Amino acid sequence: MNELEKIRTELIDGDEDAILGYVEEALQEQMEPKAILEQGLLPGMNDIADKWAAGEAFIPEVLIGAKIMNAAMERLEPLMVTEEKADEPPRVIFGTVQGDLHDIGKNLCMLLLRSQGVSVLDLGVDVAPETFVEAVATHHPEYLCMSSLLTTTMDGFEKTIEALKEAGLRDKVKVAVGGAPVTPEYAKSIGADLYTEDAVQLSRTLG
Amino acid sequence: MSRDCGGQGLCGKCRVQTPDLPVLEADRRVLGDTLCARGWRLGCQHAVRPDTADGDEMAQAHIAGTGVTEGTGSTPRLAALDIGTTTVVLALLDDAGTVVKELAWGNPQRAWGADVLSRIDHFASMPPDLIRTLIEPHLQGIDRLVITGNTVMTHLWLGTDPAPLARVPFTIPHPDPVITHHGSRQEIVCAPFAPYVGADIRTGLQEVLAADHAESFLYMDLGTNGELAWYDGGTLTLCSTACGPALEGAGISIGMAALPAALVHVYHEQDRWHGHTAGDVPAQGVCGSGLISWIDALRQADLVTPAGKLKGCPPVEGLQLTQKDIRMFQLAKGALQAGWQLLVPDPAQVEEVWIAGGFSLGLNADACIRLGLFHPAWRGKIRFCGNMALKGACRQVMAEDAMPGDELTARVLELEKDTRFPLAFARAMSLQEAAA
Repeated sequence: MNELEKIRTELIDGDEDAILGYVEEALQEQMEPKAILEQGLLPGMNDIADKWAAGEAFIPEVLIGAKIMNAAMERLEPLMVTEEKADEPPRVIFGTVQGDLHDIGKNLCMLLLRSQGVSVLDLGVDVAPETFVEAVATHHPEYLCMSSLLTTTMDGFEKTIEALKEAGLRDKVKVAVGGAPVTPEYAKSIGADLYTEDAVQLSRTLG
Repeated sequence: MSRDCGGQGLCGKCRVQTPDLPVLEADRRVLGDTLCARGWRLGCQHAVRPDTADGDEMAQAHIAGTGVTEGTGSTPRLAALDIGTTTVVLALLDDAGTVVKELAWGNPQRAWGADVLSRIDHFASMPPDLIRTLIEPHLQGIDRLVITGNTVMTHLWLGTDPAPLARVPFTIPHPDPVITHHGSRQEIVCAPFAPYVGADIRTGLQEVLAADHAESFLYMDLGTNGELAWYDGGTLTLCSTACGPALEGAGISIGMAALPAALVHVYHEQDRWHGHTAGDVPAQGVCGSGLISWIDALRQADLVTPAGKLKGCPPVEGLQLTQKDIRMFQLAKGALQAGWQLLVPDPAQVEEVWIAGGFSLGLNADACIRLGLFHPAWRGKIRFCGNMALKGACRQVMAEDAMPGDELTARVLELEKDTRFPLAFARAMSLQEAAA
């Protein structure tokens, strides 16, 4: 098994030192940093998502895998400067609705989409409806994904959808909503286009 | 009828067998095709015809679980009230501070949802005097009443909209003690520390500080949510950790409160699986302490991996846990463990751990340590102390000065803003002993 395969298959085990060791070995063997990312780390993240769908992995494996990936990228990125890093327009925009600071679930969704090569823009937490609207007007994404973890802040979904309508943008973007208190019936009732039960399903639907 | 989710069609606790009703999407999603075919529906999702309506059910929901403890025969003059999200407890005291009588009810607000957020959502539709109606008949001749509880409960008692507690920027409408008069009776609502660290933690800590305690201690109130306090001998640091109600059995497929018929202990012996229920009656579900014991036993039998993968769950009294139940437990346990790991600089050095709240009785400390809920160094240092919030309120009602607990100040650690939290949470979801 070469280093790239080891990175891919062992990322789920969460041993940062081991993965960073394989990255070093791969570099010593003159492998391209881009290949280490695209044939080792990203498929490794993707495998974790598949295992989650099969009940064999969960939030810890994704979050710890992401931390290791970030550490590996600190090593790889300086070596990738010569490569073209085209500023792709985001296909998907994410944000947690106004009044809510929860972002672990939203960040999981973004991680899994990025690991599938989907360009993503993060507006962060406590995002006002007008900020969502402005981002949609500026970047023309295919999807706007909003998250809320509290029944007390879920009205942010409806306010944003309303604001998109007022700005004449509602038919220009698909709206996805998610978070613990959201149900498929609720998503339908507020006129959202997409609801998925978890981050893996979202990444498989949009990826 | 139990409605943990506040009638949103999520928890399935309100299911009723009425085959005449149509099957809704929510019925199918929560209950599954098999149960739907047998006539089960979500009670909260179907309109009820007047002739079948259980007339006063909302108001009567509290009657199950009423308990009275009689003490000495002297006349009570003082009272302390602990308003819990699930349970309301009233203690009546004589002039000497002896508890004469203790009364407990299920919180009647439960008909509007099991957790504090549902209560906030239903503030406008919930009758404001539910709890006063409950206790007022027992307050004849009482001169002073001290009220404690989580921040949402004390605000609802005061008739104040608690919405600002649950939204950025998280402000507290009543940050100080509130003193009112009801006839000739003085009523004092103790002050909260933070939106999610309420007066119940304040009175509970006052009780520990007044008791014989070690120089440094960790205080954990495990109820519908987890509140933690770390006292290092000089200063107090507090946090609230969003462990949710899974540790109370809510959100678990076969979960239930710690009532008769709940599995409280599960173990594996000579290739057979055994379960004990509260009240020694046939099992209907599992409560929080039973869930901990069960998952610990599955781990020891290597049927659950440290990462939480369920390889199989042999039936216990005809019941089984699902993979999703294990995941719900991991989320709750991870949040609690990450909470104390970030709150206490060196958990191994904690001299004493006080566990307050509903768990105080039936929790197996060794199982908690094996699963990482508690640090291994706490073995032998854990003190289960019951309803400290109420005991502290009883102490306060005896205090001469009428402004209870003002002297107690604390720093609040906001975990939701702490950048260390996500990774600590992820690591803490592992079902094994916490690193020493």
